[in-house]
Amino acid sequence: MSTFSPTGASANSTPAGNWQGDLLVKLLVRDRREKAFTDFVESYNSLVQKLGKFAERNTALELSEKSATEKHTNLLREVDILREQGSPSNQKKTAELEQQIQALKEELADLYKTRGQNAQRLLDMNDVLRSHEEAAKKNQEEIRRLAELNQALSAKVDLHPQAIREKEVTIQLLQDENATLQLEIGKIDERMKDLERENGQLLQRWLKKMNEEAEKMNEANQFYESALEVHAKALEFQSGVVIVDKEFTPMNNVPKSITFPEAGTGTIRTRGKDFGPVIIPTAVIKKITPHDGEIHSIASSYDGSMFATGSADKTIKIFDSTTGQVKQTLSGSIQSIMHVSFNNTNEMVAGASNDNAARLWHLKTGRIRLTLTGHVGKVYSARFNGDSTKVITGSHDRTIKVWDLQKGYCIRTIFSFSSCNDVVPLDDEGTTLVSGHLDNNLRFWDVRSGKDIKELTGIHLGQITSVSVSPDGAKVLTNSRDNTLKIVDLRTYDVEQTLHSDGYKTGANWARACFSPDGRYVAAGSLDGTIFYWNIQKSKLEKTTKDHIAPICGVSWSPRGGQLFSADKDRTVCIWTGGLR
Amino acid sequence: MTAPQNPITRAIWDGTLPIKFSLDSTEAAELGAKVLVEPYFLEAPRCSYFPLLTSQIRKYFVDMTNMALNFIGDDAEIWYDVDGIPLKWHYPIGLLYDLHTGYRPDSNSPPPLPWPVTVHFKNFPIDKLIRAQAIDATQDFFMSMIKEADFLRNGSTKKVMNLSKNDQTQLLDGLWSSFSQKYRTENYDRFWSINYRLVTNDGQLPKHIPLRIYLPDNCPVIQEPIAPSDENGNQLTLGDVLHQILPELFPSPLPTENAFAAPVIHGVIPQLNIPILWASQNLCYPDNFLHIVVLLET
Repeated sequence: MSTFSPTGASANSTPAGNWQGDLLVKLLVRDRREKAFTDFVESYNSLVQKLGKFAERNTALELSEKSATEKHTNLLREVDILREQGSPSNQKKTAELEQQIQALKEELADLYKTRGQNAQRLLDMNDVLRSHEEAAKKNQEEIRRLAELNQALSAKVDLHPQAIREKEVTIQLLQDENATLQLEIGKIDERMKDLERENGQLLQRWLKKMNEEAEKMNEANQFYESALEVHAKALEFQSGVVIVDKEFTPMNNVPKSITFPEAGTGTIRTRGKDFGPVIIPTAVIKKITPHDGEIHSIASSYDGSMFATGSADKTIKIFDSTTGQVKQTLSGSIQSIMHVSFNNTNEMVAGASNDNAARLWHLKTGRIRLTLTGHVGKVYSARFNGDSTKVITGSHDRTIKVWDLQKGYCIRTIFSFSSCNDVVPLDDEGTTLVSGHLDNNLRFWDVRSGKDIKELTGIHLGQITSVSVSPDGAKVLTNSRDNTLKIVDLRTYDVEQTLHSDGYKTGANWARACFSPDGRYVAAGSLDGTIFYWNIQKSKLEKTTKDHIAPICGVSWSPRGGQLFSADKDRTVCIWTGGLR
Repeated sequence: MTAPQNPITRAIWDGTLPIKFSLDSTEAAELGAKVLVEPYFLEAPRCSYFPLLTSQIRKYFVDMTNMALNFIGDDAEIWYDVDGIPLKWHYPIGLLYDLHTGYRPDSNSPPPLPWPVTVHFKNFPIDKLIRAQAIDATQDFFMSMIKEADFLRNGSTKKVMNLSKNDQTQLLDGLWSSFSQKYRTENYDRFWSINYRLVTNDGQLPKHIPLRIYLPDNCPVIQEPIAPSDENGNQLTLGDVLHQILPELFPSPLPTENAFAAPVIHGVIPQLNIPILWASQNLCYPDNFLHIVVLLET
């Protein structure tokens, strides 16, 4: 006990016995009372269990008893039936009935057979009937159709005589008219003869007068030439430098006054109007490297006082053409400038950029006036029309766009089928364009309709890098990667001349060639840095000069005539001027 | 480890009560009883719980063919009452008897035995009893009581939580099959071999005594932290504790002056000079708590 109460139960061990004993006694008393029923409950439980078993057995017995009773009643019923069938009268009756049944069955079989036959016949008849009905229906329809046809035809027949009558009337009318017209023709023929006669007289009179005037003019020219010679001699005397191209000078003046009949009939081209004496520039007076990046384009202004360059360093620079100093730097482009051009009044500069936009700068303010966005490819060319109301841009997204500068948005998009390397307006209005393409073709466009006027295929074997129009507007110069330049006559669309030379290789996909201001020469820069001059009147190479060492990407002849600006890939810009011949 | 052979704990473990289960008469009609349902008698251990008897009772009332009651619900639907008061299924049966009969063994009017209890198959009184009295819930509740007792003794439930799975099963199995008369001794050994370590607290003086005091007339249950000894290290007796908690009912810790109220444990009135520690170790119910029912003189 002391082990069970370790915390000091032993300390009061004497009273411990006392209360523990007391507890035990009390518990025993309790148990005597509460366990008095133990035996009863136990035996009760076993009785309950037994009862359960008996109940189960009872139900099982009841079930088997029930099924036994059922079986018994069934058997009784069967015995009754058998007993009844066993009687002799019944047997006789049964036999008779069986015979009857047999007879009836046979009869029934016969009936079934005939019924089957009948049904078959009925089916056959039905089929026949149906086919007949169908045939009848078809016939009816046919009759209806024919009747309609008949009606329509008779109606048509009715109409015919009426038509014939009308036609007869018309024929009568036409014959009448014909007669009157023939009469008129006779009269007109007579009048024409009169007029031809008159015309002949007038022509003779005009020729006479012209001859008189020409003689007068020649006299004046002779006088002027002699005076000029005197003057030149005097100059030669002073400086020893020849400034004036003698061979050209008279040509320069003559067409202004007399022998240029076409000048009056074609459009007047303002750009060719006031050029100075054209001298092939052979001497470099200035060599500069203004840009941080490769130069893509160079262009002279229309008065020749300045020129502009566009570069991969995203700027356009404007230079004074005599000193070569940078006058302005135009920035704002996001990508390289591919092409620059001035407008007629030299107030604005257009720059085409690789960032799919073209921009216009005001030279007075040096700020962007307009940004023309809408192309989805690099813009390779941007040019003003004659009165600076429009800008034409050509892009590698295979479109040419015409922009109205007053409205500030694109007024025409031309789908050109191929990437456009250069596009130039053919007239001042800018209603006709010529463009050179990546697919070697030259195309002419009507802006108003947006349609192709003419497409020249097969003139070049490489992509066309530049297009320029001669000062008189009659010819187009193309430069191509097949290392030839062609001059195309605008009236016949024929190639008039092919300019090529040993050593001439086009320097870039955007290398631009140009006419001289009088249209007699063509200048183009080559891959090795040489500038070639062709005389297109004689159709031969006139001169080559070399000062660049990198591929030339563009040349521009000053409208003053005596200067040429060239730029190369290596960022060098040269200003050429007339040297010694 | 074998269980200690202590005649008192053994007598408490062996204590039984004869109970008369009768079906509620109105419910019997509702359930479709054709004949008068006879009551069922059972001798239940005082330390057991009612839910452990439910399956046996159900078998009798529902499955016995001659009763033919129409009941298909869960065992958890079945509940018990005495004189219209629902019996709390989570109290040990002995405690419920002492509490409900209010019988003082020293009085002269013993209540009738077997104890009449009414069985209900319907209308579970959700407002008075906790639902879910399946055997699992009873087991969970029992374990939580043991843990609570451990916490009171040590301030943690480490001892219970550290019991191996095997020991826990042994503890529960011992109690759960305790009402089978045949294996009473075997079950006592199984239960007490584990329980001994818990109640003796492995020889250490516990901080508090796990103790609950029940008063008549539906007074709330009293549970206060009681130390086994006073400030001077003197061991407290049962009388000391009762005097400390209920000074009005027990004006003195000595037994002689307390004729008015008496503590009843396991159906007997122990002497008040029993050391409280010994009482806690030997007179506790299997849930490790010393459940004391205080009865007043009538």
